[in-house]
Amino acid sequence: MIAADGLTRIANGRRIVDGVSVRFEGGRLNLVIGPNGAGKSTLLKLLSRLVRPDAGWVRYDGDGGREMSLASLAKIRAVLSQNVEIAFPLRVREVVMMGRYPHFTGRPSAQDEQACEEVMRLFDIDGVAERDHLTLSGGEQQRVHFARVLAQIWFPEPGRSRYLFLDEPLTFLDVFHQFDFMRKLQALLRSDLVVVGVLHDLNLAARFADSLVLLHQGRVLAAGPADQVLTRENVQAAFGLAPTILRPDGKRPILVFD
Amino acid sequence: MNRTLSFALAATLLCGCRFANQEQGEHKERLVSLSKQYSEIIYALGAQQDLVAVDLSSTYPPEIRSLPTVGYHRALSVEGLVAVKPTLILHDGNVGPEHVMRQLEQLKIPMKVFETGGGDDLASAKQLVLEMGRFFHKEARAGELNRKLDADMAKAAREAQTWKKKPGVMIVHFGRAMNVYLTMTSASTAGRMIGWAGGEMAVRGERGMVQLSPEVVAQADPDVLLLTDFGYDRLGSPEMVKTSLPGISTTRAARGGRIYRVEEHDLVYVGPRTGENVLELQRLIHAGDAAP
Amino acid sequence: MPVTRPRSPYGGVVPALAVALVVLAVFSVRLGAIPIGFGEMASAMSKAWSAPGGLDLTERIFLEIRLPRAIATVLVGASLALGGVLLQGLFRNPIVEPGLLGTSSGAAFGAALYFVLGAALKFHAGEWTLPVAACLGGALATACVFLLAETAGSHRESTTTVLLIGIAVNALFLSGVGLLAYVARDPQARSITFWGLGTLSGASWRAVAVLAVTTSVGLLLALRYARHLNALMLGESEALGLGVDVARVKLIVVAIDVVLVGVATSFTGIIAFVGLIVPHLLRLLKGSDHRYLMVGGALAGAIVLTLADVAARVLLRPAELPIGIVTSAVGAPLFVALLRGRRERFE
Repeated sequence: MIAADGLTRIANGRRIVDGVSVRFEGGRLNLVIGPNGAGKSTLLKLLSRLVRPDAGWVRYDGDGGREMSLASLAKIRAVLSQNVEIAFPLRVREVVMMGRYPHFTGRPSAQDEQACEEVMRLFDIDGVAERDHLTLSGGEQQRVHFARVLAQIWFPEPGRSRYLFLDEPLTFLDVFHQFDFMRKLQALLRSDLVVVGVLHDLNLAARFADSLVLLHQGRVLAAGPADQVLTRENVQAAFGLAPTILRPDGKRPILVFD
Repeated sequence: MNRTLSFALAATLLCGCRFANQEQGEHKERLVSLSKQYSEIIYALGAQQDLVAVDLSSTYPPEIRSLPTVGYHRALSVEGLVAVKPTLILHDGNVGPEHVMRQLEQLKIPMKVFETGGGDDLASAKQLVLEMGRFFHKEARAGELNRKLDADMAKAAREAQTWKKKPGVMIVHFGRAMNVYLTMTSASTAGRMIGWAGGEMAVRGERGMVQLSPEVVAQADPDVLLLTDFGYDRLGSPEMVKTSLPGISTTRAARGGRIYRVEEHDLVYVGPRTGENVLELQRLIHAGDAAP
Repeated sequence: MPVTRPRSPYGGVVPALAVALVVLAVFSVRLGAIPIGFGEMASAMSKAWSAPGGLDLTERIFLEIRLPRAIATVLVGASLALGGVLLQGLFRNPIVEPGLLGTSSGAAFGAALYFVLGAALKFHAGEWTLPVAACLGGALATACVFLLAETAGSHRESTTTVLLIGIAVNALFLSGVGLLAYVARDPQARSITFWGLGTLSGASWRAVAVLAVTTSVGLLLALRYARHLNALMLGESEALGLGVDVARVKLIVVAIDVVLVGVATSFTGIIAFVGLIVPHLLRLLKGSDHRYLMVGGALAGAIVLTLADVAARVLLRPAELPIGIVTSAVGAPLFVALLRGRRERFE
């Protein structure tokens, strides 16, 4: 479980994130949505503790009194940024193995190798394990990064939950792989794994989210289940465009814009 | 960067030109001279039989060009020196880079600097000739050279009295290290020689040479313009000199058509021939003046 | 379920490089105006211990000139290549190296300042003063590049920006060197201009001692950060997420780079492109793991510079070409090729 209260981040005189308080539970797909410039990426950086807030706090369950070191945090928390670009030739296997760096200092152990094998198989990239990642398509490269990030938290640390943060993970994927990834993510959900993702696509968010946070101008506009957050008024207020909301199965909304 | 590049390229190209020659014959002693002044005096003393190699700037007398060279005296290489198997290296302290000299010492190759320092006046030049004469056991010849020098200088001094004017003289030199034209000043050895020749260096200064610029030329406005060999040959003729060098065309020298070529090695150090050179300079700078 | 550990794809390169280096170094020692045979080398080395007074000229040339030069070439080549690996890892850019980013010219400036002022102030603190002065100069120049890159905002990752900043800083410090050469009294001025284009002719046993210390310590320290530089390849944010203290790593790696390159430059002048050529070739060969790049880089850098030194000594024999000309003649076209390849792929 992640709890955050009054998170604020200021840059260039602007409040990019302004007093955000949220709570995310493990075992659920928590998604953050909002228009460009709403502060989603920054919020994710704050929640994943890559960046210190100017005000407010973030707490993970199991946090002791002392602040965790960067290195120990990396054993239980993985973040995938937008647009990871690597300028050098590297084998796919090497990229995935980097996810295990927080867990070994010298050579990788058998456990590290095992984690890599399993995630590569999960994301269907074990076939290209020895290839230079630069020769892969955008979608394949993205899957390599998924594998790496999951490898990082593949095994639980005793007594702690694990945390996975994904910033716009679907950008380079075709529609098949978008759905495929979201389903795999759902399959991985467990009570001791907290997943927080930022998504662009409102319909995908509606389709898969167990809990949604709608961010607008650095503040939480709405939070809760999809049908509560994705109302015509909320969407209009945040995005400036009013949708038609359909509910074919009565539960999850589908938004249509014209 | 430009300067170092030109310097290094010039040095290496020049080396390339003069490394083709093979040494000839057997030598008991193998002398290498790294000073053009020493080289000339050695030949003047008739002591050149053991000389096996010289530096690039040793260009007088003409027969010295048949000797192999070991490089530019300020950019020597150990391998180049060692290749000629010297038993003694003569230099005047104006050599570099420093680490080469250090390495030669480590190799225990004997080196000698003559005690008489690098003065550019007649007294030390004669002293050097005597010292070298003793070293090479050519004392008699050394004495002859000095007497001739004295005689020529005395003649020059007498002639100088007869001329009414002291013409203003400017000497332009092409600095190959920096690829620019320079002008010698009153502080240089050439400046002294002009003085002995009854002239006056038009450019005053503390450093031996300054860069040629229109301001310098305008302020100097010489009656006579001399160019050293390399720089003159680059341009080809007095007309080219007038058009190519800044500010020259409006000088008295240009208008009077008094632009002449001189050899650099006649001007930059005092040696046995300095007397002859001064007389020649005298003739050159006073040519066209009203006869006494 | 047990998993068989895959064989390292980098295997075999390092031993091959080591062998090649030894062979080349021996070959290089034999070359020169006076060729030196194996017998003479052996007798020189045994006499050095037992009867140092009894060495003949060839043996002295071997011990005092060729051998220290060969060893210094190996150490300088290793230092420069390692500097290139480190900077490329830091900037996440394969088209940077200490020569292009001002570290070398800053070091040259520091050394030149020491030549000029040291004589004037009559200050001399032993063998280490010159290298220290060079390191300070190199640190200053590199700091300039970093600061300017930081303020370039969103463009700071761009190759073009970084290279342009490097050109500017280079120009600044090189003109400083030129100015110092101009105002210097004669002996110092000669040293500065002579060594401005890079030369190994000044190599002495003292230089070898200093270089041995900095190169080995530099390599050992750098290896401890190999994994961090690997992680940094993913981006600063990602590296942070993997537990890498990015700011601290950057500082330490830059410091190692400045010391390696600064000390090398203080003895040899500016030798460019070694730090560019070597990591690039190694990556093409096997990939980008930094442990491999560091060890392989040190060896390959030594090989490259030894080859360049042989060329410098042989091409215009017995005159010496400044080694910086040789490395630039090969490195500059490669640099252009790298730039073109990169443009097609990314911009």
